[in-house]
Amino acid sequence: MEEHQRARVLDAAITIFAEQGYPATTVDDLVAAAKIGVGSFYGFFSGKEQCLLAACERIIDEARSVVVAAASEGTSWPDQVCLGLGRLLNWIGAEPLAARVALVEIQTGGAEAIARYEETLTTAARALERGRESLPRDRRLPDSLEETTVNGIAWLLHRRLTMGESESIPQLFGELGEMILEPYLGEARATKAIARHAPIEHRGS
Amino acid sequence: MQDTQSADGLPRLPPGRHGLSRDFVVTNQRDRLTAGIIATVAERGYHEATVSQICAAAGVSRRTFYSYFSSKEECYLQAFERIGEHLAEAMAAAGSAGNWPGQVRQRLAAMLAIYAANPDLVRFTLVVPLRAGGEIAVHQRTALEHLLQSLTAGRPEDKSLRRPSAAIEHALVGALVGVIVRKVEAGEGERLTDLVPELTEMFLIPYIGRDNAVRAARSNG
Repeated sequence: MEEHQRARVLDAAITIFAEQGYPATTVDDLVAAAKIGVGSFYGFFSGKEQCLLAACERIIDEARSVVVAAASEGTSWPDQVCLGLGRLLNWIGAEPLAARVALVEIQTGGAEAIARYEETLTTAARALERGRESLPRDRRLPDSLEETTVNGIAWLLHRRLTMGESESIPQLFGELGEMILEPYLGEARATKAIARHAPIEHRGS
Repeated sequence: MQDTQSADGLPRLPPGRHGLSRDFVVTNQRDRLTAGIIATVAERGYHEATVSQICAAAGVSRRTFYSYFSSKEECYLQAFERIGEHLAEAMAAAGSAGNWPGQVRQRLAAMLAIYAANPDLVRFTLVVPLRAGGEIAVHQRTALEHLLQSLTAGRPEDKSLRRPSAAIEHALVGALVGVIVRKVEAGEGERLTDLVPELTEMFLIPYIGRDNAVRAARSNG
């Protein structure tokens, strides 16, 4: 019962944070949207910042399980990247409010929220580093490659989400897949890996 | 008490007297308020910075502040635009000769030199908007779009040159800004110009390929 009510508050909070922005949202707004008493709200969260953190935690967990489940279906590293990326972009396209909270509003939520956001990007960057294992000996990559790739993608998604272009996000699969894979595989192999996945995952979606 | 004081703590000067034109006083006060809001917002954040703190940093009265700006937002916006113009002019002046990859390197060097001289400018234009959210965050997008325009200006419409999509160009400039911000947040803002080769290479790869990008990044031409 309590769990259920807490989950309902988070659902309402995600919608309202995404729609009016975290900085402009008050506890009163959250309470009204979730249709609960102020007392109950403070029973769950110490304030709106804790509420944002809990919402982000839930969203990031969900997005991560989408990626992990998708990647586990792939046999090679490039396939795993394609599957994970494709499903993640589809998920973002289907859940633009949640994505906005975890990629955009999170950055306005103070030190703890920003740390959580940066930790998420770092986790994603670490996951891409596996691409180095199969690198030809003569290919040297900058140390910061994965971090910059992830930062660039995060910014692009931020941009699309804040410009109200979230439906276009799944269509970024080909370009972003190539951007991620090319440094490890070279242009030709990266294009081939993408082509194996593009039709199933994205045409007409 | 504050009302009779100008920016310099001197009595307000009527125009055209004392060899100090009103334009000069105005410019001076404006400059100080611009410097004041940059330092205050960079340190505290957009929502946290107050007009009183900005005035204290500028050495200007609140009344003077409100004679130039109707709000903190307007002051922020004008400072933001001035920084943008300054960067765009410096980048255009630095990278006008030679081939385009060389121009990119010179423009990045010019931009990083400005940021290194005052790392608060990085916080003000490239960190604070995202942290502030809402309408203010829109300025981050504008800043990055201008940066992209400054870097790609004069790019030859050569068939041999790859043409990355708009999405990739946005990701590219986002990645570039990420590197700059991390350097500043690591307390190494004064050494931003060290990043010239790395950022040149990173930016040029999607246009001219890795080998050419590495060459352009290392050359001194």
